[in-house]
Amino acid sequence: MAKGKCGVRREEAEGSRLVAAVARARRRVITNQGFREAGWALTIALLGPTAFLALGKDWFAWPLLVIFALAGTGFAGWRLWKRRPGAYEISQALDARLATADQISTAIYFLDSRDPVAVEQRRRAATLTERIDLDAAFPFTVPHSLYGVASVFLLASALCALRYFLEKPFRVNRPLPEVIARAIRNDQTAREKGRRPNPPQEGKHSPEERAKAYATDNAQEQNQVKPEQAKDISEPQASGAAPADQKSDQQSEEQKAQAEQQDPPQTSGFGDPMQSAENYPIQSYEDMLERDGKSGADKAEGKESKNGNNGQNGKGAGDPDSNSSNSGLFSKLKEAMSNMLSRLQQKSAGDAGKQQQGAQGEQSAGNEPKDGAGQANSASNGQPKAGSQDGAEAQAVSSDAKDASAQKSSNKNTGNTSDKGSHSAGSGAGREDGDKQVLEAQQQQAMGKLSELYGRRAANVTGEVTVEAQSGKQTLRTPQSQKQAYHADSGGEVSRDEIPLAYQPFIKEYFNKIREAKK
Amino acid sequence: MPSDQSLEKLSHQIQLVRNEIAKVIVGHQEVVDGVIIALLAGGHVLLEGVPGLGKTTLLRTLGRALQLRYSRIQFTPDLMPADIVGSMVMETDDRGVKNLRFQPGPIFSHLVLADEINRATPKTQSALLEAMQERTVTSGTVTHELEEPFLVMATQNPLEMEGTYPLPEAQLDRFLMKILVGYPSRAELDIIVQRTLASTQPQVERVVDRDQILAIRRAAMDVLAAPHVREFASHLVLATQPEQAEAHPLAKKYVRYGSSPRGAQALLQSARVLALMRGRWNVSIDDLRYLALQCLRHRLILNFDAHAEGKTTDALLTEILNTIPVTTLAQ
Repeated sequence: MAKGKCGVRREEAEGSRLVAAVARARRRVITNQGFREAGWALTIALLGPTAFLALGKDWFAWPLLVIFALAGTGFAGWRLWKRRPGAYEISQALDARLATADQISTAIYFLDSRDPVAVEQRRRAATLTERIDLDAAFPFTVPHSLYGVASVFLLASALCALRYFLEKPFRVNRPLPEVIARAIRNDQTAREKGRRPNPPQEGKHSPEERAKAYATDNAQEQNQVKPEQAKDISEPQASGAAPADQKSDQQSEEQKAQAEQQDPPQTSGFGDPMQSAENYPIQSYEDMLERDGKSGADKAEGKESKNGNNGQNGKGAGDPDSNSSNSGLFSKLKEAMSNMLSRLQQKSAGDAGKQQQGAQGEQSAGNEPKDGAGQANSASNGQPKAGSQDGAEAQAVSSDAKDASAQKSSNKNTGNTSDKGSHSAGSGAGREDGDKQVLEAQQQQAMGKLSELYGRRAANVTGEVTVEAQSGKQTLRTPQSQKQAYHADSGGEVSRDEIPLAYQPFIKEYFNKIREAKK
Repeated sequence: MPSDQSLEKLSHQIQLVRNEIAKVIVGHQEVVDGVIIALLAGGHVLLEGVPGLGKTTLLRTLGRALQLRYSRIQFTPDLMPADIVGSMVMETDDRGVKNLRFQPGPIFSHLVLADEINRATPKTQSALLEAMQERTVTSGTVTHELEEPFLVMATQNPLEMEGTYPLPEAQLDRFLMKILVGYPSRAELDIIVQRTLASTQPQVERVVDRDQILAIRRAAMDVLAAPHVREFASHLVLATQPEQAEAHPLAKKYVRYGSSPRGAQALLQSARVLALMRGRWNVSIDDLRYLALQCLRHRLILNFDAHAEGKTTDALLTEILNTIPVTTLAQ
């Protein structure tokens, strides 16, 4: 009896050793799973700020961020709970990874069995677990869910950067699509007016003249600002405002007065025009253009300051590099937008051209602005760099060329082929693609070749045909193809041109339809 | 009482048989193990290979190494069922009374070598069906039981198909294993030639008797198989059946009839013996993998597409084996 108790104790000890080893492996597995699920939780939680950046404060309330975080945590916790492996599953994985011939899993499954074979097998498995390395079986790994976290983080960063570029200082009131649409609309307005900011030229204009020009631009722009834009503009901008230099303050007094004469209620919110031109956040695409010009001017001034005129510009001399890089990036975006808009414009111009084709056709035939268009293209291709006088001239030419191209496009719509070689002005795409008529001709030629190839291919269809024939004496023939009856050599069978029995109803129906059609 | 000693003893006895066979047969360890497994698992084995590879010699050697009754039947086209199972003969006793007495055929042995089994007619081949499955022979109205262990070791030649009768599916399914006998390697061939030229032939001794074989059989029946191992066998068999939802895509494409449930039974029975031979009290998935081809290759009937594309049952089974998951843990 005592021996029996001893045996039971030994069995229990072996069983507990086995269970302890599997439990240790299970902890490692659950830890790995925990890391993975935490990654997913973080991903979901980060989706909240991402949505916030995309939708803005107007559409996305702050408490939703907490809901996202809670949802992520709950989801991860639920998955962790649902997917937590049992001891038997862990032991199977242990066997598979350590090549222990399913000894551990079998012992775990038959853990409660008192069968002598099961006891013996459990004892061997317990001995085996002392020799195996559980850490090697389940090492701590980097979870794949980190990719999700990184992706959402990158997306959030991109949205953040986009917002920062579109409306400085960083604000998240309006939804991002609205901000982008506003920028596009302003750009469209500016293009319709064919007006660009006149950036001050390096070495030709004094700071006073530049400030005056800015004030004039601002005032004119405020006249164009729609009421809703004016409302946005009149919002307090104190957070992002930087102090202007004293000299520009003095100059801005005059400009302010000038601006107030033009539109007192709207300009009153900006204070000093020079200061606002330099410091207030970009409210529209026009402002961005001005800022681009300003950055060029600043760059020029920076050069001057390097030559010993530091005090004149104050802190503005330190910014040009960053501003120019920003504007360089933004200019690409701007150009893409303008291309899109100009295509839309081109369409509308084409519609208008249908109505005015008679009157304008002759004018456009005589007004072949190849050189002018080329200049306009070159001017519109490169951004009008502030500080270069050529840019301003090019803009002026560009507006003329735009009109000419609009007329030309209308002529094209009416079938006037006199300007085949010209480009579609205003359209960024295809400006350097060469003659589109030639391209179309090439494409048509290619299509002709293709159809010819198809025809040839159809004429030479080859393939394999497998005929399954039964054993015995047979004669291969094609029904309905023979015109004469003859005695076959093998077996003396009579071969006739007859319709197979299976097809006779269909043939009959077919001929009936033909007869009915004739009647 | 199972213990390390008992397990070692069983493994040692099996090893003795292997050693005796190795005195005559060079190489072919997989084939030798397959035949021993079939004997200990209570099944029958079909050896297929070209002539001259030692199929008959292997089975004859096994019969000599075991203290069991051994008989050899050369299957020919004119062989009749009575030539196998036995027949009723007229016998006159001392008083001059004539009686019918059952004369047992060569099937009444422990080890029956059915050489060139596909040369006999289906009628004669079918005479083996009852004996192989139910271990009985019915003659007239009397049913005679066959003594355990009973092992039919059949050979067939895949090349000479003229004048042969392929085994019917029902009979093929009754073989626990179908083992392909391949050509020996260069080193093995050298040893075979060397032994052939030797003046004395190796003497095979009887190392294991009937009781020991039956004891190993009983021990093999006690070997544990965990549920996930059993599920692996079931999953494998179901994957070969094209009409099943769990069927492998290749089985749906190339298999006309998949393995019967006998396939899963054969797989687990054989795996138990193999586990014992490997010194374990539990079946592992590796054992099933090792035996899958031998136990299932003759249970699959391929369709025309498979024959046209040159697919073999071994190739299909290997691909199916590789797709069956071992563990449910998703890591």
